[in-house]
Amino acid sequence: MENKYLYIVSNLSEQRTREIANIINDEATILYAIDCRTALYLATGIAEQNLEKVIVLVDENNTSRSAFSGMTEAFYRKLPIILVTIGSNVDYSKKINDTINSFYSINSFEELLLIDDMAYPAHIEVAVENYNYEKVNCEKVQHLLQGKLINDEYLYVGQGIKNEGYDYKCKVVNGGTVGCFDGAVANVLGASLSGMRDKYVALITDIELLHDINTLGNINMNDTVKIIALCSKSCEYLGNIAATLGFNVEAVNEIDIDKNIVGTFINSAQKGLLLVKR
Amino acid sequence: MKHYYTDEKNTLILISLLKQHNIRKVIASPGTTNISFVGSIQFDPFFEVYSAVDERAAAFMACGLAEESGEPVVLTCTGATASRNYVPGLTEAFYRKLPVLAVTSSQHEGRIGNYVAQMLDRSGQFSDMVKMSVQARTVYSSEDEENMVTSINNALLELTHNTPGPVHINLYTTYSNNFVVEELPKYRVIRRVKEDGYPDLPKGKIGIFVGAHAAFSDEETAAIDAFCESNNAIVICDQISNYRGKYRFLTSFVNNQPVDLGTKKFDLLIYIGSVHGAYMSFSGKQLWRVNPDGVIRDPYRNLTYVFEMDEINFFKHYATGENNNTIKELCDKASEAAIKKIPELPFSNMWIAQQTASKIPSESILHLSILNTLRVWNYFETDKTILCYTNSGGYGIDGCLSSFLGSATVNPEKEHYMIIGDLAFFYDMGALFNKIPSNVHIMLINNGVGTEFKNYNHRASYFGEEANDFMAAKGHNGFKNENLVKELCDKREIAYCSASDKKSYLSVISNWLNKGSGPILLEVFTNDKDESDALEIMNNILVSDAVKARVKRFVKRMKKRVKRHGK
Repeated sequence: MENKYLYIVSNLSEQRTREIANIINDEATILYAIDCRTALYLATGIAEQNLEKVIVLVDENNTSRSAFSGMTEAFYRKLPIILVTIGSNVDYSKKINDTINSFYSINSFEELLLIDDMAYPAHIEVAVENYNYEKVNCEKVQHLLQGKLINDEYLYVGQGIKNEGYDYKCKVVNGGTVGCFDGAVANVLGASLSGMRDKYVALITDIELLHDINTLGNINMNDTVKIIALCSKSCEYLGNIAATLGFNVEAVNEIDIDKNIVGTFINSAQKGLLLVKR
Repeated sequence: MKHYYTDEKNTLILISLLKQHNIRKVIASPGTTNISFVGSIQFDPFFEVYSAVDERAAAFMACGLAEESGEPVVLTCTGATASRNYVPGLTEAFYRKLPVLAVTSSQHEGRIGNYVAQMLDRSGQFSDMVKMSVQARTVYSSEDEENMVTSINNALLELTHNTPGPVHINLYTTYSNNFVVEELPKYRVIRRVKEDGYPDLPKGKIGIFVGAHAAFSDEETAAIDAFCESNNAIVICDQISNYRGKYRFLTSFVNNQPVDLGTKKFDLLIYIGSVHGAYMSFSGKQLWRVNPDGVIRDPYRNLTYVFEMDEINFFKHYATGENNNTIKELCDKASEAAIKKIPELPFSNMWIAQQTASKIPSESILHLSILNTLRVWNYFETDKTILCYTNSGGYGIDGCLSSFLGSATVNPEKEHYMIIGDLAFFYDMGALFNKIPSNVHIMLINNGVGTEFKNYNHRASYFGEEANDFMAAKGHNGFKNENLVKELCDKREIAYCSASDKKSYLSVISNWLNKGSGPILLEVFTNDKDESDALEIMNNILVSDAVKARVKRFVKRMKKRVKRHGK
């Protein structure tokens, strides 16, 4: 194999990916994956078929932890995958044994091109500043929820949502870890299994919903769960999936949302998904 | 159809202890490898079991459930990459300080790396993923079983210890299809006490077992004495315990006798300090460990409580002010009876200890090398102002001399005395090429062999003289060469003297003991047979006359048989 990296699978934004690809190989074929776990398995599929190295780009936060099932796959099949984690939000000083054959810590993407004779699969940490994910500001929705959720109720605010300066009467859980959008719906579902309250409300972004889409169909999903998802793009398809699974699905433009809509939604007797289009 | 538990013991231990630690919430992901566990708990009404196909979601569900309920939550998954999908959720649990227990089921670990399908290596974890990871192997022996009881208790306690957080148990399975255990065995549970929840002291005899310990303050000693007085306790010591209060019982001599004078068995042992020095003979129905580190340490596999607190607070809590102590008198009488019966011993380290232990000057520091020296010097008392040390941490002979010289160098105001065997001395002799301070008194017991392995009751005794070459390392360093150490001392400006019998020993010992005579080395030449004989004599002082007579008759019969049959 030549040293040139022909394939990149990215968990980052298009703009960030392009900047990095211009350094590594501006002619590389790039695939995007919202879910880091998916990204790794995309890479294994490419590597096994094309017998070429594949770089996977992901921020070094808890999101990158989803890479390790795919890295295990690559390890046992000796696939030339290079997991590149950017930043330093989690600790990779110790290793899970059967996931990588080499590890490097570098300070720039240019240095990546200087590494020879990597043993695959490999993990490269790029020690640059952590990416600052912009959180969604949804003041209107939050003010409405503030007025509707009472003492004995539960609100989970996802990592994608800006949550400062709100004075809720209910229990508020700021779940997740910095920069990671996995597990929000599962967290809320898990909490609801305690049976301690009548309502378990999740305020999350569409990205967080997408990361956890297979949780909607969990057999334990129950009528205390209400999900409010802020959608930056069209997310009708998410609503269709939820409706098929028995959710009460509503969609509203953020500009039109009011206390009646919010109140009716969270007080519904059925598990629910409210898509708030921005 | 009736449903019972698996017959896989490690799984039974886990289930039993989950129940005893009141951990009932389980999120199960489907698979074959965890069927022994899932198939056992799913019919037990104690457990609340939920299902999640995606292990990543399962782990996040566990986060949500643990946080909301305030209870630990168990995850169970199969082999293959299932457990890798726990990693993000466990990382979240780590940073959010949530008690999530990931029980990953596995085939035999010997299959790692052999391309056996679905087999992963789960021995390594990310630092910020779990607080503790335990390999719960299949149980084949009683020691395996006890190890599992300790390890699994430790894992379950760690979920909420100090900062709560996730813990991993890798549970091995043999894929047994025998779900035949009708009643779940109740395995020993270990609990941790920090500020409240003190259990009642059991009634009966209590032994405070002190491993290697720093000097006790007056206040600590008083607290222990008050505890002993009111709770019929004795302090089981060897020289490195460094407890010098009223209830000290230097245990080796009496408890190595073949008879039990009421000093060996206790209703409760309380363990303070670290690893013991001498191998002492005693046992307890249960063990409580008291240490600010709160770590589960279960040397005799009977630990039931760990008290995470300063020792003084523990002893003060249980002292009642009453005087209920009868065991001290028992121990004192046993010691006196044994000491009175000591006959003339052969010239040996044991005899030297008998002659010299009480003469080590007060306020000194005494170091004893591993292992036979440590053993025999525990038969005789030293002055109560002496502090004693040995390398009981690693129990090696590689650094005994160095440790001693380190202490002597930085504590010039204290006379330092070391008793060291030849294997340990020559192993570490390089330490003498550093600067040797003047407060150093070294006694080298040179019998040219590792006496430890030549003792009558050592397992190497099975080999007799054939143990010499490779087990006991006989003959190194010129085999009792009379000039080697002498010349070494001369080069290093260490005063040298030697002895090879009782008379010559008694003529030099006073000078060796003298403060200000150092640095000085006394080389004593003995032999392994006398060493072994001395030990055997000392270990059989209190054999009853009836037993002696029986032994004598038996030996006579055996000799006749050998003569008759040549066998």
